[in-house]
Amino acid sequence: MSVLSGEQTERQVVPIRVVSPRRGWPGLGLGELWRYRELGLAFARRDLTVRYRQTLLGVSWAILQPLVLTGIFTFVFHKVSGIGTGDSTPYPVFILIGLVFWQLFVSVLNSVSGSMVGNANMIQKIYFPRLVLPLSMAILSLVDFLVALILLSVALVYYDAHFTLLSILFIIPLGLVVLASAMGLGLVLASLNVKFRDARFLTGFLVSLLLFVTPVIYPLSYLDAYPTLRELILWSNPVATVITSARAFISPDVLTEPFMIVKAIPATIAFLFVGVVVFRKTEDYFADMI
Amino acid sequence: MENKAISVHNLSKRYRLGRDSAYLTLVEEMRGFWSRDRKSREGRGEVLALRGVTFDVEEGEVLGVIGRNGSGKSTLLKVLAGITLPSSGRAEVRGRCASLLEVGTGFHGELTGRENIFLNGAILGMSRSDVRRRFDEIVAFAEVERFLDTPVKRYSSGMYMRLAFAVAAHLSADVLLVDEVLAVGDAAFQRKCLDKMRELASGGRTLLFVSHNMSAITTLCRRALLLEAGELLGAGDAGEMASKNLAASWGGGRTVYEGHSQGGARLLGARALVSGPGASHDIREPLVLEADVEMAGCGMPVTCQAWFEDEWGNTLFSSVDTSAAQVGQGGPEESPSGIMRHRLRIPGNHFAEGPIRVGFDICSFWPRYQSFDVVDGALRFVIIDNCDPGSIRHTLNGSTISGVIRPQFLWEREPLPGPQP
Repeated sequence: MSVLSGEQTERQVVPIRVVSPRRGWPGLGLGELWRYRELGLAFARRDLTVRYRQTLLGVSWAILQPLVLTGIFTFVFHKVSGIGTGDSTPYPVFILIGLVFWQLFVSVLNSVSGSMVGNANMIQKIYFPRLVLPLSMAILSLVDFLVALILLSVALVYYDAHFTLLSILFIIPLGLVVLASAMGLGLVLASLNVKFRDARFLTGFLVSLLLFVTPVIYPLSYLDAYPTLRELILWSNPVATVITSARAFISPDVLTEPFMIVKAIPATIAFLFVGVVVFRKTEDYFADMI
Repeated sequence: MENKAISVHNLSKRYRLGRDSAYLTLVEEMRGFWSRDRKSREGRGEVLALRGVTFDVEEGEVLGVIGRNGSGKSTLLKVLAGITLPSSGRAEVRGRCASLLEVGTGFHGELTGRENIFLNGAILGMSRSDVRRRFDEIVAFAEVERFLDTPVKRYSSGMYMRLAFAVAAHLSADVLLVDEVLAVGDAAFQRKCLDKMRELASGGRTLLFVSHNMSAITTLCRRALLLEAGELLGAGDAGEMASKNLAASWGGGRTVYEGHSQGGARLLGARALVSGPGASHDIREPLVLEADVEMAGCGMPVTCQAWFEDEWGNTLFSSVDTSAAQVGQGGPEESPSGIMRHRLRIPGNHFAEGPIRVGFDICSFWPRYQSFDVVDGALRFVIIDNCDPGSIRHTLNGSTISGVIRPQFLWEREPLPGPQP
C-alpha cells in the first residue's frame, strides 16, 4: 500500500491510497514514517509515563540500577575474582562504561524484539507503519542511556579519571552505533516472534551468550594472546568495539588504536540492513499471523 | 474515479486455517516444511474471507455493511484500512482515511483520561494540536470532566467506552471506516453516538459503517452492502439489504406466509403488503396485514391476534381482532365454519425503523383464553426511514429518535395567561 499519486483540487492535494497485494521490495517507507512521527513520540511518552507510575522510587530507578550493579560487579569481579582493567582506569569507572552500553544494547534488543507481539491488539486493529513501534522503543532506551551518562560523568569526576568534555561527546555517537546494531537484531527477532514465539527464548538466550563475547566485566586486552579471536570479536560484535573504544578514550593511558571504532561500522550496517529488510518484507502479514 | 471516495475492484482475502496462524513453534513449521505429504499441508485448509468483492462508495456517502458473523465485514474494513493486505484485487481510497475497528484500542489503563485522549488521538491519526483544539469538545461529549486526571483503570466500563468513542468521534478524516461501535454505553449515550455519526456523515465525510444493529443501519444509511461468506450478496437500498439480512437470525424477510389446513382453527396464510422493494416498508406508509384463518366448526368464537417484535425480541405491542368477537350480552357467538380474512391496518408513522417480526395466534377468549394455532415470526420485514418529507425524523431535521415505536400523536398547545415581562 502506498500513496501513489495526488490529485490537485481547490483545497489541497487529495492523497489516493492504493490497496493491493504487494509485489517486490516495498521500499523503506521513510516518508510515511515521518508523517507518523507524532505517533512514535506518543508511544514513547506513554511508555515513559507508565513506567514510573505507581512506583515509590520513580525515576531514581534509572540511576539506582547501574549504581547498584557497579557496586556488586566491582566487589565480585574486581575485589573477589581479581579481574583488572588492563590499564590504570579505576574499576568502577571501567565497569560502568561497560554497563552503560550493555544495558542500552539489552534494553533495545528486548523491547524491539517484543514490540510487535506486545502490541498485538493494536496491530490487528489500527494501521500505522509498524516501524513506528520499535523506533519509539529505541527513543525510550536512549533516554535511559542519557540518564546513565549523567551517572558516568559523576563517576568520572569523582575518580578524577582522565576526562574531558570531548570524551563524553564521543560517547553519544558510540551509543548510536550500539542502538543501530541492537535495532537490526531486534527487528529480525520481532518479525520472527510474530510467527514463532520461540524468538522470545532465543532473545534471552542470545543476550546471555553475547555477554560472554562482549568485554563488559573484563577488558578486551585479556584476549591479546588470541589476536584472531580479538579481531573477530571487534569486527563482528559492535558492542564490544564500542565499549573498548569508549574505555580507551577515557583511559589515562595513551590511545593505541584511535580508529578502532571503524571496525564496528560494517557489522552495524549489516545488522541494521538485514533487520530492516526482514521487517519490511514480513510486516504486511503481521496482522494476520500475530 | 471522479467523486468516488472508495473504489474496490475484485478484492479477495485468503486466510490459512488451523493452528498454523498462531502459536506455531519452529519445530512444527519445519516438520511441515520437510513433510513429503503435501496433501496433509493443504488439508489444513484455507478460507476465503473475501471473494472478489467489487463496489464503489461516493464521496460523502454513508454506506452500511451488513451480514452475519464471519461474512467478511471486518476483513473488508481491515483491508481497506491497510491493516492487512488483500490476496488479490485492488482498492483505492481517496482522502485521509481513519479506521475505528474497536472502541478504545490503544487505551492504557495506567494513563489518565487526559493522557489517553492525546495518546488515542495520535493512534487514530490526529496531530497533537488537532487534539488540543478539540479537547474540550471530546471531554464534554464523553461526560468525564470530573475524572480527567484519574487513571482510566479506575473508570467504570461505561465511562471508559464513552471516552474512547468520544476521541474517535472527533477524528478529522475524509473517509471513516467504522466497525460495530454503537454497542456502547446506555441507551441515551447510544443515541448520542448515533447522532454524532450522522453529524459526521452530513459534514461531507464518507462513512463505511459495519453493524449488526439493523435499525442503526437503516437510520444512518441509504445504501448498504450485504456480505455472505465473503461474497457480495447485494448492494443497494439499505432497507432492502437489511430485510435480506434477516436471514441471519430469522431465516430471511418474508411478506407471505402459507400454512396448512389441518382441521380446527388454523392460520392458512398471512401477508404483509409492504411498500418497498424486498421486504422493506416505508415508515410513512400505512401497512396492511392480512391473515386468512380457517375455522372448521370448533364451536367457539375464534379470533386472530398479531404480535410485533423488534430485532432484539422485545414485544412492541399486540393487537387482537375484536371485530370478530362481537361482544354481546350473552358473550360472542360461535364462529361459523369457513375461511375468514382478517385485515389489520396500521397507520403510517407508527413503527420505528428496523426489522419487525409478526407472530399470529389463532385463539379464543370465550369462555376463557384458548389458543388453537400459534405461528411465531410468520411475517418478517424491515421498516425504513429515508427522512423524506412526511416522516417524523424529516420534520426533526433527521435527528435520531429513541423508542421502540414511533406513533404520531396529536399534540395541542395553548398560551397561558401570565405576568408580562
